[in-house]
Amino acid sequence: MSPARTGSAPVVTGVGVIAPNGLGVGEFWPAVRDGHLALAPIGRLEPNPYPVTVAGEVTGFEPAGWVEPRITVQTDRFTHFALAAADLALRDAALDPAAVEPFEFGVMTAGYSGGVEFGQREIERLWRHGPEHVGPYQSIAWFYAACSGQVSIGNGLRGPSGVLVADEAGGLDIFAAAGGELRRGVRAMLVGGAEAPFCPYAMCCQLGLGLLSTSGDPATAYQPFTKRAGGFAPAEGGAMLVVENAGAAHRRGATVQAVVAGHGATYTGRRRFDRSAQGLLRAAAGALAEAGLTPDDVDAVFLDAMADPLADAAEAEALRLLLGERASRVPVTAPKAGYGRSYSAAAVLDVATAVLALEHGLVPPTPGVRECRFDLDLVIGAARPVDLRTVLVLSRGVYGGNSALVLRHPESPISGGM
Amino acid sequence: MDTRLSPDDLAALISRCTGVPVTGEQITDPDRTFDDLGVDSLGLMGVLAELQREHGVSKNADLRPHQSPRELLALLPGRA
Amino acid sequence: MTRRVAVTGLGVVAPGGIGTKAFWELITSGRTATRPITLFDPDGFRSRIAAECDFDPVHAGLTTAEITRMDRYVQFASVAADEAWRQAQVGVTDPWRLGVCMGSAVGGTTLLEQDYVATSQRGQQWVVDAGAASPFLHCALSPATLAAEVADRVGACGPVRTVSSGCTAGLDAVGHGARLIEDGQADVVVAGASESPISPITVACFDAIRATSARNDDPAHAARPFDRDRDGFVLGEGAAVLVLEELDHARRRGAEVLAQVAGFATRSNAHHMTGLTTEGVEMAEAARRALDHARVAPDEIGYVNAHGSGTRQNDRHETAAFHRLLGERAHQVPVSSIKSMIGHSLGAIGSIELAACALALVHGVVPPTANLETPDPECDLDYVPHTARERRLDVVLSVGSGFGGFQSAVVLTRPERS
Repeated sequence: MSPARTGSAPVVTGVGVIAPNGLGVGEFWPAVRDGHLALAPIGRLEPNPYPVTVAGEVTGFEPAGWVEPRITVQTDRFTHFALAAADLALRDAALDPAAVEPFEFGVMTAGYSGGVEFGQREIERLWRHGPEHVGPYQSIAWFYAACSGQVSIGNGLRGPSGVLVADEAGGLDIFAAAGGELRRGVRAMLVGGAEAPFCPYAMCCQLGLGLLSTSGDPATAYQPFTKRAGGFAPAEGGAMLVVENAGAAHRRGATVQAVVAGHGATYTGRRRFDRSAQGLLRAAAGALAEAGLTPDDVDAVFLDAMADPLADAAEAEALRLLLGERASRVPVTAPKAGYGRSYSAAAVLDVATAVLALEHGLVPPTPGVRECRFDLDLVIGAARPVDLRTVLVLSRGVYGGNSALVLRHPESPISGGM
Repeated sequence: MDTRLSPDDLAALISRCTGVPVTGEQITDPDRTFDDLGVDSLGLMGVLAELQREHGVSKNADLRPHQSPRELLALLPGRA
Repeated sequence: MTRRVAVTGLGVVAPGGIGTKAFWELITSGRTATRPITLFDPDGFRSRIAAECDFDPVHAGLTTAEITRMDRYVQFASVAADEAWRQAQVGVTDPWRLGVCMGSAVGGTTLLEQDYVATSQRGQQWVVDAGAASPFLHCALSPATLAAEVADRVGACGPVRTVSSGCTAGLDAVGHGARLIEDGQADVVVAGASESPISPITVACFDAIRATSARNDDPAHAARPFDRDRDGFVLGEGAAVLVLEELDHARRRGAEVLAQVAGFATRSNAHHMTGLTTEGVEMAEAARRALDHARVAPDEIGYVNAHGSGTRQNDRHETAAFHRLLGERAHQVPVSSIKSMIGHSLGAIGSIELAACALALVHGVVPPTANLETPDPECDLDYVPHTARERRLDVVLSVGSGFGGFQSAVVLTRPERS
């Protein structure tokens, strides 16, 4: 391990969320805490000839309230989410980018599907009308780097930029990548991801995964860890967090919401969920070791919750291997069952949720789920009050990535750190 | 092909392509550049492309943000 | 103990020849591989030229199943990874300590477009017919599959991710991969990048912003970085893969070390998605940070591999950045752009250029800038026109610039440098 690793764990000082169950943490947290179910028929896909009909859609989001008109025309919906979430996170952190030294404040986002709706419109113009009908913004709206670029420009962030497309698990890996910049002297990073995969062509692409729920009933469409688990409900949305160098955050008197204490990542093969138990186990053990902690320190787990029978079983097995006999007693939860799985943004939303859970001392429930087919303490019904010091967030990608992130309460003694 | 665009029409076209609110009055103001209006090079390329496709502006026409909407107006056929 | 990063294997798929040997021969000959587009009928497009790979996947050793499953850019990466892996001869290594970090800017665009045409009846239907899609379309939506395919080839179980930061992705993937080793997340990382963007939608989107050369009547001389008569870049394709290894790990097993990846940094201009500032401040800053990390002074740079895309603004911007970085020595340091010969393959080119830099260190030869006939008064450095130059090199800097305002820099040094 690098000598710079000890005692300098990055801290979260701001959270911005654009989710199907709420815009901003003021709406998002009560909805998550109360297990509000935000899955519904997909309004953006009318008509919808596809077998997937229920999803987590961000409703009530008007770009005009968040994004300059000049930028709206040159960006896809996923970038609108990222810009809005970045704005919320900066406000939550009470951090004015202009007050940070030039080159010391950057942005990193995770991605999965990019600006597909914008892309479908332009590619339609090309094939319907000819090449000269493709507009100038196609070159900057569709690609995966659109969010990092626009957030950098929109907020004057001249520090490091980055974009990881590492499956759903990339939503956790991006915190490690940003941590790498902070360790090397950068003061602050906006970290997050956004997805908007509900145009017809994006849906057409996702169907091939064979992992999406085809249930037409929002109340039962996404049932991870139950006997009825039959795929996940896809979702759109995004989240951005302000992550700062701990010393810099303290010097400016920032309110520290959580400590990003450790990260681990492994790969166990495309669609080899049977092997992901070992992968998740090693990722989690690595994250805890980096945090200077042991599995006994874990107070709650935010689950990947693929809602595929094999994948769920592997995740339960990973927890059994990691936590031993405590596996049946440590509260575990999948709040995303209430609003869907938004690919790379799903794990970022879980990090946001974990930060809020630490702050409130509450483990939110898994909405819509009434039983658990594994010997796990899956929190269902109401949120559970727990004196949370250390939480583990797990994420797994459909192409084989397994990642884990350890977050700690700001008042916990820091023993390790990314 | 409709080639007759009034300053107001052109302003509306620019607004639609670039997201920047522009008025007909601003179009005819000789001292105002696209930079002043907040229309950047990408936006201007979109405007030019539409004028070339729909309004008979020459394929070779070029315009930069330091130039004025009045100069763009002059590129329209019949307005030299 | 600081962990340092060695390069122990190289693989290249580039226009003008498949394999590292053919690549090095081409770029030191000063010949160009730019020509009329043959991958599709470019009639009606503004730019109808490109640097294409004469790539036969069967001849390159891919199986029928791989050819069926993999998009062209994944095929390139697989072949380049195989070559690099063979050269490195890593042998038995802990799979959990073996990572993959691949870059791509537009990922599976080629397959996305092909299937779009099929599912939309050539753009006639907004609500596309999912039944007409290829079973592998879902892999095209997210370039996470690029890193996964490479991981499967080498048996990696450590961190596996794709970097998709646009045109700096090829530098960023190697830089990020090197950090995984520096920070102790892996001992060996297969890092590189791949792109196959020569498809109608990508050609059209660069047409729309006039970024590409329209010198259709003279394709061999169309890519003219730093020349007064340059008119944009020529789109390219290809891949390069570097096997990165912790230096002591490589030395212990007696591996031949080709170079060290000594420094990496990115900074952003926060100015414009495609526009560059005239002063080159951010690129110089990224380079300075990368040099600091490498503990190398700007005075020690023996060669700068420029972004050198051949757009009017880039070459001016970059020249300003090099003046800022190198000061009075700027005129004494050879600077060249191999894009003059193999085009600009977007996310892949950064890795291809790093392969060129590693070979330049090994052979003591600086590759030239082709087509530099008439100097541009605003570009006044030594761009090594036409002919390769022998020169003992200890430190090489490679820079890249991409949409989003991103500027990246990687420093390579000789293997024995401490």
